[in-house]
Amino acid sequence: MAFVAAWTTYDTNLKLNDVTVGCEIEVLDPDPLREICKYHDLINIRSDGGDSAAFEVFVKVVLPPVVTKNYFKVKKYDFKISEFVTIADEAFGLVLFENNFKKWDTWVIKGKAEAKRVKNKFGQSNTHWASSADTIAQYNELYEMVKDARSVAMNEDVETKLLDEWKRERDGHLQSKSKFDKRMDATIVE
Amino acid sequence: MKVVGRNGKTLGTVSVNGDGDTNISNLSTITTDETSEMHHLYATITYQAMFNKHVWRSIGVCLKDRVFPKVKFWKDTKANFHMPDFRTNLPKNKYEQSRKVCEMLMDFVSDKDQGNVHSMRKKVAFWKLYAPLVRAELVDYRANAAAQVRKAYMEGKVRNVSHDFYDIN
Repeated sequence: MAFVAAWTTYDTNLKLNDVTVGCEIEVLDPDPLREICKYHDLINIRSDGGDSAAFEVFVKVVLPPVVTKNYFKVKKYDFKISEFVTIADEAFGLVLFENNFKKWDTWVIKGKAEAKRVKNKFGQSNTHWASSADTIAQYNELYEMVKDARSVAMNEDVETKLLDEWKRERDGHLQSKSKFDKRMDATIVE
Repeated sequence: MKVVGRNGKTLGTVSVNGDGDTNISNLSTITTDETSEMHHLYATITYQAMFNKHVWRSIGVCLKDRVFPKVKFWKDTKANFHMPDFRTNLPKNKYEQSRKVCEMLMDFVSDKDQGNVHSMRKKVAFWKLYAPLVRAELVDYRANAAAQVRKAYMEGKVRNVSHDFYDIN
């Protein structure tokens, strides 16, 4: 509960950029992803009886920056996640989130100064996290997990749900475009 | 002569050994064995005049579109990364990751020589010049991804609409 309260406070203090006018901003509840990372293991994120909400948040928050936002924006309307996000991308997103989760979580709850004292999960012994053997081992493990999960079409229901959601969103905007076109046509006739 | 890469970083100085236009046929007369030829090339080849910002831009595109979706960490050691084994008689399953990346990039940015392969001289020269930049590019990619994921996670917001220009009213 404390986390949600802190989150809400942080959220209301945000200043949105003017550029966002015309965009729909979806506010996500990160709790499912946070819980799976804190109390369980991210390796279960795609598991059969796993929390699909956590996977959904992961797809919306972590994957776009990993595959680049523009690419994600273009592809998400026509393809399922497993069709345009590579296994390596997904495994990297998981390992990245797992490495930094504690720091970011502290940042949200206790502030930046406190977060600076928190160390990342991997690469603590004077090595960069990306060249640490722990990171590579975890990455390989997650890679295998994602590969296996995809081969048996695990979480396909979530992927289909997200694809439908995004398709509906696009269709809504195409409608608004046709209204705009009609208005423009009317202007031309006058 | 200094080679300056991106951000004005000096890539290093290399002593010039003979004429820069030495071609592979001349070299093959000096060293017949492929291994010693490779070592000779690594030790002597020059690359000052080769850096080309347009080629580097193409490499950046290739890295972003073809390499980074598959490669997130380097498997090779630092020494192996900078000096991969380019011998042609090496079995394909023993190719180092850096060699595969180098060949992929060269296929993307330059034409092949006779026999539909890149000569070892070209590969060594190309990789000596661009390997540090390629390595740095992956570091940048990971850092950018981490920064953006942090931002997205902490804000908890996702922009849903890409068709901003339709909503002009």
